[in-house]
Amino acid sequence: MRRATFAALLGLLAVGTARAQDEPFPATSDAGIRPRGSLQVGLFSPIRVGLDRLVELETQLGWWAMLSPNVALRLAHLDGDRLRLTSSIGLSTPTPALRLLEGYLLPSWDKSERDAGWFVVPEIGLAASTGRRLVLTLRSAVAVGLGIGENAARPLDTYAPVELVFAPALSGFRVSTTAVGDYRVLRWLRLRLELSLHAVGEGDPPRSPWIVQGSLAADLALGRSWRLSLGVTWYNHDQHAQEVVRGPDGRWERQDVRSNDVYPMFDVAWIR
Amino acid sequence: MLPRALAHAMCLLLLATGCEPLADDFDFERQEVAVFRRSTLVPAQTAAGQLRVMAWNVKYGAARIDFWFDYWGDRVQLTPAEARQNLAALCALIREVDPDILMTEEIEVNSRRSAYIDMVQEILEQTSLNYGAYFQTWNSRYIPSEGLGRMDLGNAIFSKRPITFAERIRQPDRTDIDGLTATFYLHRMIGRALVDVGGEEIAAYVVHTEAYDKDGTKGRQVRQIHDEAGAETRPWVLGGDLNELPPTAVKREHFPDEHPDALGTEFEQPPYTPELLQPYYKDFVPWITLATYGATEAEQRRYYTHSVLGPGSLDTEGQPGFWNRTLDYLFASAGSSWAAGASDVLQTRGRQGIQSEPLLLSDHAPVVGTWVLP
Repeated sequence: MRRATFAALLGLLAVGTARAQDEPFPATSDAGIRPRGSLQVGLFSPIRVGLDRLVELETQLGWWAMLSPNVALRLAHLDGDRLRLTSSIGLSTPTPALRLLEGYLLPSWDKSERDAGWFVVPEIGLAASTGRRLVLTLRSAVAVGLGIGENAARPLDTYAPVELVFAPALSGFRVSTTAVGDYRVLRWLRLRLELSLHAVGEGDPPRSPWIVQGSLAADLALGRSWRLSLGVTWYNHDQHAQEVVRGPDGRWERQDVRSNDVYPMFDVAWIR
Repeated sequence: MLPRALAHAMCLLLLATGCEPLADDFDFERQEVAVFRRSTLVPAQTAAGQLRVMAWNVKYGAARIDFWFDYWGDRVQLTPAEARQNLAALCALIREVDPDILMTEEIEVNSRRSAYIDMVQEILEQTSLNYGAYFQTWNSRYIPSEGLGRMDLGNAIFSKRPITFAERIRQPDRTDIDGLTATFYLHRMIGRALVDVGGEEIAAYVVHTEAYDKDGTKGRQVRQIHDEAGAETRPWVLGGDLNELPPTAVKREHFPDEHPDALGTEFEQPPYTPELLQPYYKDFVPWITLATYGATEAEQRRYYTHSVLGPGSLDTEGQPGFWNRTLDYLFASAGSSWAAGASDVLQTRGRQGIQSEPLLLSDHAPVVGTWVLP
């Protein structure tokens, strides 16, 4: 038993000391920044541009940029094979997206002619990765919503993915911590397991601020430049759901329960 | 992180799985429901052989706040403070009437627009009513329209005396709305509760029929209620909002509280069909007879139960809002009767000695009567 444990530790160390250029299918979840001049464009995941050996630009262009202009810079502090450490700083504004939701997830306010307000959302983050074949990553990020002028919108109390997107603006902040294990099974296949804990600002009326998220995904290399990601993600959160149960005194009563939802994940990325 | 999360959201309608469906389609004909109880029971003091009965559409505690679907305002949600304050005012009037049986329509237990307050349990705790059966009619996890969000609305029957059994009976759905709207739309139910009144069981019904249909759904619902109550073997009392005028109503159209912007929309008031209620007056015992109701608009006005607008708003004729039609009723089984002088519509402060001002509490006035058992 002790011998097996020792062998496993040696194996992990060997994985951890592998060189970047030796890895035939790098993990997209890696905290490291992209090499200078390289480019990654995803259907849903953001565009990543290596600006310098230590600086990367990240943004979502196209449809999402129209709804929420956004940009982030990622800076490498450690860029070794054993440990990559990066920080990030970003800025976005979700107001166009919020206004598009008026009449659907938000009121139209046809009579009072109010609107969802203008917000800027600064976000800072820190990420660290180790390993090459098995990449272990820890990420943390904090985003706050800074309102400019009047705002009629309140927290949406909706499904967790949407709630997380707009939490900084509508409930004040979002803090996320994510642990990722990303293992190359074959030269063209990686399996990724993620677990996240998010905290968002208080609702009105209050609800639990905690959102738990877990994901299992497979990344497939399609030739030299294309990546296909397929998977499922699960959210556990408080959406004011209740169940009617018998209480200890025999009376029927309503009890708050957390909601569990599973969604498919899909992404295609082109990497140069 | 943000776009990826939104990608998850986009997939939501395609393949979301979870413990709770997007909306409940109520796939049953009859279903037993839970009976809730006051935390501390209040001894019931009821005069032998008669029960004070009250029916009230409480508009989910919105009082006179103008909501978007009436086109006079654009509110979608109550603040928690508004919801609690309005509910306290509703309970104050219920305490004044002190009914043995209360039927409520448009009551909510966990809806976003009424700040997720459990109005059934709150009414139990704030009045002398001991038991409450809730008949859910609308259960949507999240309605993606105007930010409505979670909706848990229904009707309820409250009683001082034990409710021994309660069930909801499915009513026909509208067929004149598209599939997506229908998924998130409410489903009307007849609420039926059996109440033990000192060794004898009586049946109580609460109803609320369709308001905006153009395909005859309300007519089918009204006839189903008539047939259901008519087949009841126990003495029974029925209360609720039938969204229909009495057969002899004089004023039948051009109500001044319909906002011009509502015309041509899904919330335009369809023409009333008062003849639908003729069988009720023929076969059952109304709390206000047609003779008492009167034959002129001036006579009938004192029994009007509904107005979209309250006294703080001016209608299309420039007048402060006031009750302008009768939509709410109490009926009892043949062979029973209503105590003389105790039947009324609580339109304003002073009616039946009340101190509360009903005009400010809901868009419907409570109807009350003292039912004399056969």
